[in-house]
Amino acid sequence: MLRIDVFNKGEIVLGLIPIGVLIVVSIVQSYIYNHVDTSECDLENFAVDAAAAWEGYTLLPHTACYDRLFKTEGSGDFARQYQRDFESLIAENHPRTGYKIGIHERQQQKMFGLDGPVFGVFYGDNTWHPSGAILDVKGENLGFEPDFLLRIGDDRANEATTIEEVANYIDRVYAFIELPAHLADPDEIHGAFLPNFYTMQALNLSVRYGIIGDYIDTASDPDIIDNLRNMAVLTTDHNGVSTPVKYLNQDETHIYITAIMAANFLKERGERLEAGDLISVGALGVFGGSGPEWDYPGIDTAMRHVHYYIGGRRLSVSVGFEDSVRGTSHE
Amino acid sequence: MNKLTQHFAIDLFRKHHLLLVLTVVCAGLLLMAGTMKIRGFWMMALNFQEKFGLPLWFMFFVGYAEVLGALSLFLKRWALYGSLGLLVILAGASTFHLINNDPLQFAGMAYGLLAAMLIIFVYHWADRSAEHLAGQVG
Repeated sequence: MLRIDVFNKGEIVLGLIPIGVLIVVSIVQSYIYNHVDTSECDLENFAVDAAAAWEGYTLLPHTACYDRLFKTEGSGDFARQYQRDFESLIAENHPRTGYKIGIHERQQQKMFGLDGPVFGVFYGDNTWHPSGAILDVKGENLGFEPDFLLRIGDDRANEATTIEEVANYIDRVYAFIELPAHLADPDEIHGAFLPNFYTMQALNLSVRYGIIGDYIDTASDPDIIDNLRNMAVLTTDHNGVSTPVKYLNQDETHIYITAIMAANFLKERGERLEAGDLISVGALGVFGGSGPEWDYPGIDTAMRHVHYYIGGRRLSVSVGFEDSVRGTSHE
Repeated sequence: MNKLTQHFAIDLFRKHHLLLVLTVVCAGLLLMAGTMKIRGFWMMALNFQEKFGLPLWFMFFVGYAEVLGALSLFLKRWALYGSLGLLVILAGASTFHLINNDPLQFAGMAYGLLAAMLIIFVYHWADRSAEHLAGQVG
C-alpha cells in the first residue's frame, strides 16, 4: 500500500536547500566555463592566424576567442567570408585539389546549431593518398572520418537541381577516408576536437588529407542511385573491432545532394564544378557512436579499414598511422 | 553494523535483490553521466545548448543532481526523495529525446534509466509506507 503521507514536509524543505545551492553553484560554474576574453583577438587577423597555423602544422592561436566571435555571429555566410580570406592566403602557394561538403543532413545541422551545410576546399601537394598508405601524422591534431568521394564527370552538374539529374554527371564514386587536420586548439575549447561549427566553416573545415580506395564507375551500375541510398558503412580497426554501422537509408537525403550543394557554394564565388573535380562527403560514421580513440588517429598507430556495401559490391579503403613528431611508428 | 543498517538501505537490499541490482546499475550509469556533465564534456554541452536549446548552467545542475541523486539511492533516509528527483530528471531527458526524435542508441539509456528509476522509487515508497503503517499500529 503506497501512502502519500510518508512525504514529510520537513524532509522536503531540507532537500530543497541543497537544490538551491546547486543552482547557484551551476550558474557560477557556467559563467566560468563560458567566459572568454574577446578582446584578445580580432577577426581582421583571423585569416593570417589560420593560414600560419595551416602552413606550420600547428594550432590556431586564440581559438576560444575566435570561436566565441564566430559563434556569436552564428551565420554560415559570415564564416565563409573569413574562410575565403584564409583560403586566398594558402592558395598562393598550394594547388586546389578538391571540395568537401559537411553536415548535409538537416538533423545534424540542428545538432550543431548550423543554418545549413558547410563547405571546404582542399589545397596542397600531398592531399590524396592511396588505400593502404601509412600516413605520418606529424604531430597534427588529425581527425578520422569515414567519408565518401564523388567525381564529377561533366560540368553540367552545375545546372542540376535534383538527385536524378546530378547522378548523370557523377561518373565515379570512391571508398574514402577523410583526415582533417584540426586547427582549433582543444585545450582552449574544453578538450573538444571540434570548435563551434561556424568556426569550423571559417577554418575551411580543417581539410587536409584523404585516403582514396576502391571505386565504382557509376555507368556500370544502372541502380547506383538506389544502391547508394541503401549503402551501409562499416569501420573497423586492425583487430576487426567496429564502430556502429551507418545505414544511409536512415538519412533524410541522398548523398548526391552534396554535389548540388558544392555547385551552389561555388556559384556564390562565381566559380563552377569541372569534370574531374572531387567532392568529399561525410562524415559517414555514426556521430557519437564511438569512443574518442576513433576520433584521434594520432594516438593509434594501427591500421583502420572502412567498408562500403553498395548493392552486391563492397568497396574498401584502409589507412595506418605513424607520427614523426610524437615518435610513434606503424605497428 | 547497526550504524550501517541505520543509515544505508542495506535491509531493503537484502529483502529485494532486484532493487539492489537496479540501484547499483543505475547509480553507476548516473555517476558516469553526471560526472561528464559536471566536467563540461563538450559533446554534452553541445547537446544541451545547440540541440535542446537549454542553458549551460542547467547542464551543470543536472550533472550535480545526478551524482547526488545516485549516492542518495543507497541512503535509507534519502533514497525515496533521491529516486523521486531522479525520476523527474529522467522523465525530462526522455521527453527531450522523444521531441527530438533521437534514435535509440542515443536515447535508450534515458528510457531505460527512467523505467528502472520508477521501479526503484516504488520500492522505496512502498517500504516507507509499510514503515509508516507499522509506526502508526505500534
